[in-house]
Amino acid sequence: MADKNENKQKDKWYVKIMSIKKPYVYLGMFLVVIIPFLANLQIKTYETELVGQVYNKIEKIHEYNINHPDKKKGVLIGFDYGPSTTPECDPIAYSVFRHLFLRDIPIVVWAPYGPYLELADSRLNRIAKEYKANYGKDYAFMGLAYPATAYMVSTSSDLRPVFNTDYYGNDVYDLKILDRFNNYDNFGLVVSISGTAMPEYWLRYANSLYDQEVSVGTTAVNAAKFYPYANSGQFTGMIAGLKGAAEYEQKVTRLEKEIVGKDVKSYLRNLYTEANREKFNKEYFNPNFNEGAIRTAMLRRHQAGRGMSSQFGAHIYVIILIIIGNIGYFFKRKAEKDRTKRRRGV
Amino acid sequence: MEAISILFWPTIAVLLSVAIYTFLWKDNMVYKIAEHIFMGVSVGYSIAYSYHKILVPKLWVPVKRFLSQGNYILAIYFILGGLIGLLYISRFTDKTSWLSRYPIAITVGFYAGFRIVPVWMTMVSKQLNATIKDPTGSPLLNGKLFEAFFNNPTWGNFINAINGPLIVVGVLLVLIYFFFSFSNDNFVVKISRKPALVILMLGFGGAFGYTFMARISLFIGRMNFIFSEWPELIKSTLGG
Amino acid sequence: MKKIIFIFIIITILISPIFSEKTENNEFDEFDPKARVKIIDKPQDEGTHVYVEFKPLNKPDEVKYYLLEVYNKKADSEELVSSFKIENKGKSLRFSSTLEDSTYSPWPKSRTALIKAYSSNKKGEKLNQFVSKTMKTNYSWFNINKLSAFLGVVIFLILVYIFIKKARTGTKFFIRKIPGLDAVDSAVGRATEMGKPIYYVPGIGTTSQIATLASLNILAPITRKVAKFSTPLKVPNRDPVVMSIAQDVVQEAYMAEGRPDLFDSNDVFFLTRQQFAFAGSVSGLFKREKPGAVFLLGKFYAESLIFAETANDVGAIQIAGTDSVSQIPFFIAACDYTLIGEELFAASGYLSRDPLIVGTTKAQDYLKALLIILLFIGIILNIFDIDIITDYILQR
Repeated sequence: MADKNENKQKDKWYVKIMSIKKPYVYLGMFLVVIIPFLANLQIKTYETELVGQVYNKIEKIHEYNINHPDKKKGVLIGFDYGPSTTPECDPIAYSVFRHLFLRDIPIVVWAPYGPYLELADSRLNRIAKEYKANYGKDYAFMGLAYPATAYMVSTSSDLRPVFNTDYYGNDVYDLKILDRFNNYDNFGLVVSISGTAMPEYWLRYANSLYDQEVSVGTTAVNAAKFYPYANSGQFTGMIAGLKGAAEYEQKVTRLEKEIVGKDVKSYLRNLYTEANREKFNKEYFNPNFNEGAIRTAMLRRHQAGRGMSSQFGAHIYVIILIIIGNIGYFFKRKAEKDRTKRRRGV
Repeated sequence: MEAISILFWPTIAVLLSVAIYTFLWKDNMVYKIAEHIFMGVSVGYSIAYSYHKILVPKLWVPVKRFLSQGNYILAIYFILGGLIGLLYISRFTDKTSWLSRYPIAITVGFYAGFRIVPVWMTMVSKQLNATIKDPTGSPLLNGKLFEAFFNNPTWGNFINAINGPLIVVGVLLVLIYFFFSFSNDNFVVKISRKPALVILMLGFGGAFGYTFMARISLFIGRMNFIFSEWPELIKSTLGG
Repeated sequence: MKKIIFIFIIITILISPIFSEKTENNEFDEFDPKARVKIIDKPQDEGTHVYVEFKPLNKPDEVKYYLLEVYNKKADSEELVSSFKIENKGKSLRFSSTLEDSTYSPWPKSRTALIKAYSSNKKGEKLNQFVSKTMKTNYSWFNINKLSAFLGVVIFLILVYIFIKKARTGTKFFIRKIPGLDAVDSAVGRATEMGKPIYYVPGIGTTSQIATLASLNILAPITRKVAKFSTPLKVPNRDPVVMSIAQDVVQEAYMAEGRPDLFDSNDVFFLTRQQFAFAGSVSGLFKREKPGAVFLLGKFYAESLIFAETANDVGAIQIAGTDSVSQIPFFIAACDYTLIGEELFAASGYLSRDPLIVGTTKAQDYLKALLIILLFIGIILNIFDIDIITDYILQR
């Protein structure tokens, strides 16, 4: 009798939907993510206030630089993410670098851990190449800043003695950009692009001790943790996860079309000619854009946007699964309660 | 030949990614191989970069520079620091392992003290200030926003009006929830327990949803590599 | 006697700004060609920073360019520190300058700033000097803006001292029951019955993170419970320093229970520093060894869900606790018992009843109570537009 009841339970629809095998769920997730991605769908995303704050701050720095060409302000970028969080942080880094190079704002970059160094080197030079930036004059990559807190505190007076050399071995006193941009007084903003809790360290040592404005570009995992700081104004805005990256990408793409022209492909094609190629030191990037490189550069401009279409599918899929699971659970519990009542009644 | 070397390592990366994903089916030999490769490579890489990126540029180069400049005191500071750091290695023998407590004590003690003021300013002072006033200076319990809502009852005005009081009440309730000195029968603790749990779970639910987006983003990143970057590499190296 | 000296030192630090020298020349002076120049000393610094406000009063067609130089005036020399080229747009401009690198002097010192301004041309050459102004900077040993941090720490230290002293003399302090800790006994018992090992992952943080230290504090009483049942205990680590401390903790706990033979240093092992390599190998260990109980206590990042799900898959009972806000939702969803945030820190006192930890937990509670009261008063006063709390005590 008990066995018969059990078998009856197994046939019930709510038990069946709660015991869908895991491989099928994973397969569904795989399809829902991969199909929009391969179809190259792009979804336009609405823009939020926190991402707007970062964008507007950089625009304000640009306006200030135009009005005070001798007292320019630069931006210090903490490249605080590694290979494991590149899908979310790469689009943020690309768009922020793009924005800064478009607006001719001097950039100084450092990375707090070894595995982040090569990533920082490749990402920075990739974008610098697209705007004919000169290493040492327009941007500098200082290399390893470990332990990061010592460097954050030293930057209040001068960051050059603690680095000794930049990432490529150049003496810090030879780089022209570091003559001025070596302390917080001359950095209008610090942007920490991170997959860990490093932005909290920036808040503690740069913002609380030296009143330096800090913005953060972070993975979605840490975004929830940083919301209190963004709301209290300690962070000047926040770019959170792939969604934030997609919003920032949209803004910067609009800006780029205004500055460079609607046809970005031909801008890239005509960027390096035989005449100007010698001016660029090939140690940092190869001053040449072939068709494959142009294709990749254009794809990179929409990396987060393409990801958002898969995100949309995945989120809808999970919401449906949660609703199905909850309905099944509700009816299962109801049936169990009814059975218990019937047994007690008998 | 060069083309093969550009293509070979990304192909290995693709195979290793797929090997890790086989864990979803069950623990198997292919997953074990990939896991052990990952672990071994990461340890070996750490050793190599510790030498090349930390020991040499941050210890050896400055000491050389200070000695050549005649700045012996600074050079001695650095050498002393290096020697104290070396004491960590004394853990390998039982007789000398007590020496490793010195560098541990110095680093733990230094960081504990060094962080006091920054952590207080960032996480206590400024956050409590922001619970009373928002960054623009207007109070969170703002009667004007409620007036605006009653004059023009839209959803946006409602959210703006209720945002501040929710934050204030939520902060107070959760702070009381984490108060361990009252017993569970105390009146204040009993009244505040359920609402505090609701607020905590709402907050955690929001964080959970956000992290879900993060996981999917990582999955999308891998798919981008396998289905987009790797075929592009194959096309460009083998095709032309 | 010691207390008197201590109080005397604190009072001296607090009133030292009174004894620093007064600034002179802190008003606007006018010069010809006309400009208004003001030197402002940066408050609460070590005497090295100045701000210069410069407003040209001539029209741009009379004098188009200026050159402003800032010197650090010493007894026998003047050292040029900064020089600014200014284009006359009729606007007042503000420049900041550091007179001397503060590392040149081990303590705060007053410096003298000397400002010289010249009319100039496009190349920035000095044509006609028309401004010379000096100012002595103020220095302070104590930054008044950080007074709240100082008072907070002093009050907390006093509370910690009082409570630890009381706990050591045997006063029983009350810490309320934390759900999840009662499950420790049943978790250890279950693992022993199943004949499976117990895994304790102290997180992936370093010793500079509080959650790691709290986790290592909890490791001791759990090891003592485990020692009673002779269940194998394994502690995988991501950080070598944490591994060293964990080995000491486990060894001492076994010795305290009279079972030094149970300690095997290979059971408290280092895996790798890479976050996801660590996650992958620990998951593999869970799948192979199928532990009966898994403790995930400490600092966790994105790999927390990997641990929790794998442990759930192999049927282990999981007790988790972390202060990482982003990882707590995963533990709540996937684990049997979760210690949220500060409960992790209180748990170490609850389990071990060590006077140091209990005393610190009570001091934390009292400080929290003080902050709740301050917050409440601040909110009430703010309704009446009185901003004492937000402007002076809880500073932004």
